[in-house]
Amino acid sequence: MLNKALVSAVLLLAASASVQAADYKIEAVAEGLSFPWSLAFLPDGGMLVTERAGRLRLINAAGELQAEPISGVPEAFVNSQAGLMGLALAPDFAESGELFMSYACGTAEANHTCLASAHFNGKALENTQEIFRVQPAKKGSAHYGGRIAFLPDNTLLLTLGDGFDYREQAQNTANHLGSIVRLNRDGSAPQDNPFVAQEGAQPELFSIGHRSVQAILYDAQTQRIFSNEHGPRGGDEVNLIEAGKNYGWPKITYGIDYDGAQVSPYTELPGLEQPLLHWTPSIAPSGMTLYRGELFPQWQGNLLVSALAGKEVRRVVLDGTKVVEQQSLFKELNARFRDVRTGPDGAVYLLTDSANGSVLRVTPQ
Amino acid sequence: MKLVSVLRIILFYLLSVVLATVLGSLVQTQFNLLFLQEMNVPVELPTRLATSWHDLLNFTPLFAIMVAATLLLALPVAEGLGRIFKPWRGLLYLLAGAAGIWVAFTLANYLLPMPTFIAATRVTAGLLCMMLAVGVGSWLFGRLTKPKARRGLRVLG
Repeated sequence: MLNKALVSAVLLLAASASVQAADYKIEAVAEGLSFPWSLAFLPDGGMLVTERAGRLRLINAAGELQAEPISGVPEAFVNSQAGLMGLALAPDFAESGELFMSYACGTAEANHTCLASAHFNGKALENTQEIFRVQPAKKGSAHYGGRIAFLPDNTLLLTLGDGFDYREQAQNTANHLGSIVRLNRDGSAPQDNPFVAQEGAQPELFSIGHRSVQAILYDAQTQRIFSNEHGPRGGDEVNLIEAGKNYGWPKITYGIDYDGAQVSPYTELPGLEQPLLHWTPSIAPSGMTLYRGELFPQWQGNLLVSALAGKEVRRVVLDGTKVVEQQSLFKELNARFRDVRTGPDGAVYLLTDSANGSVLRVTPQ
Repeated sequence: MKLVSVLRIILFYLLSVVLATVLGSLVQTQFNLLFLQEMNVPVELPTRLATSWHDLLNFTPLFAIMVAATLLLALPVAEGLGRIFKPWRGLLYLLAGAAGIWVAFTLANYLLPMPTFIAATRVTAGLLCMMLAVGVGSWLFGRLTKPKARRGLRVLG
C-alpha cells in the first residue's frame, strides 16, 4: 500500500539518486481505493474517482475521501478488465451537474461497453440512465476502451476496444467494436459523424481500426485529438485522431500476439494511419494528459502518458505532431499507473492501479 | 527396461513433440493469414513464407511447452488403450494427441487473462486443424513404438 510515509521515504531515497526525482514531490490525496480508474475535478475543489469494482467515490474539497460510495451508479459487470471505468463531467457541469460514466454491462457470456449519464447533486447521482451501448454483445471480459473526452461542439468521444477475440471487427463499420464513437449528450449520433452516409455503417463511429483505446484527450490550443491504445506484445500506440480515419488494427501493427505469432506481417498499408508514436516492448499505456498547467513550465505542451506494465509516466515532448524526446517519470514508486490528469491547480494527479490504489498529487519540490 | 529402450522412447517422444509443434505452428500461421485475407489484405507467397518462418521462430517456444506437456500425459493413455484395442492403436494415438491439446487450449484460455490464447483456435476449423497437427505428432510416436506383429491367437482384434 502506498501510504504517505512510504511515498515520502521513497522520494527521499529517489531524490538522493536522481536529479529528476528531486524536481517534484508526491503526496497521497486518497488511499485504499479498489483499482481506481478515472478521475474528475469538481468545481468546488473536490474530486470524483471511479473504482473498477463499480463504485464512485467522492474526495471533498478538503481532500477527505468520503467513506460511503456515491449512490445511483449504474450496475457494472465486474470481472478482470470489466467494471466501472471512465468518468467525465459535462462542460457545463457547474450549472447542469451532468456527468458521464462508461462501464461494462451485461454478463460474462454477453457484455458491452456502456455509457450512462447522470446528475450529481453533490452527494448522490440522480436520473442515471444508459445512453449508449456497444453493439454487438461480446463474450469475455477484455478490451472495453472506456475513456471519455468532450469536444468544443458539446459532443463527446467514447473510446472502445475490440473485445480481444473479435479483432477483425475493428475493421467492420457495421458494428462498434474496435472504434472511437462520437455521441451527442443524449447518446444519439451527430448527423455530421464521418460514417453517417456510409450504407450499413454504425452512425456513431468516429474512427476505426483500434485495438483497446485507453486514453483520449482534446487539446483546445492545437485543436488536436490524441489517443493511446494497447498493442498486443509490443505495438502500443499514441495516435492523432481524425474523423473517418482507419488506424489499421489488425491489418497493420508493430506488435505480435502474446503467443509469439504475427497478427499481421504488415506495419504499413495504404489508407491506414500510422501512429504518432509506438512502443515495443509494451509499456501498457493507460491515461494521458497534455500538460497545460503552470506548476511545471518544463512540461508545458508535453503528453504525460501513464503506464501499467511500464510502472511509469512517460513524458512525451512534441514538436507539432513529431515526437522529439521521451522521459520516464515516477518509476521510483514502482506502481502501475491507471490514469494521469492535470488538475485545475496545475498539479499532476496519478491513480495507482491496485486493490489498495491511491490518488497521488505531484507538485514542484 | 534397458537403458537403450528408454533412450529410444525419449527420442521418439521428442520427435513427436517437434513434429506436432512445427505442424501446429504452420497451421496457425495460415489461419492468421486467412483472417487478414478475409479483410482484403493481400498475402503473396513470399509474405506467407516469411510469416510462417517468423512464427516457427517465435510461436514455437511456448507452443512446444504446451505440446510437450500434453503428449507426456496423452501418450501413456494412448498406449494403454492401444494395448486393449490393438487394431485401433494408430487412431487412438491420433485422438489422444488431439483431445489432449484441446484440453491444453481450454486450460490456457481459462487460466490466462486473454479469452483465447491462440488466435487460430477462435474458429472451429482452426481448432480442429491444430488438434489434427498435434494428433499427427502423437500418431508418429505410436507408429514408431508399435510392437512387432506376432503370429498366434489375438484376443481382441
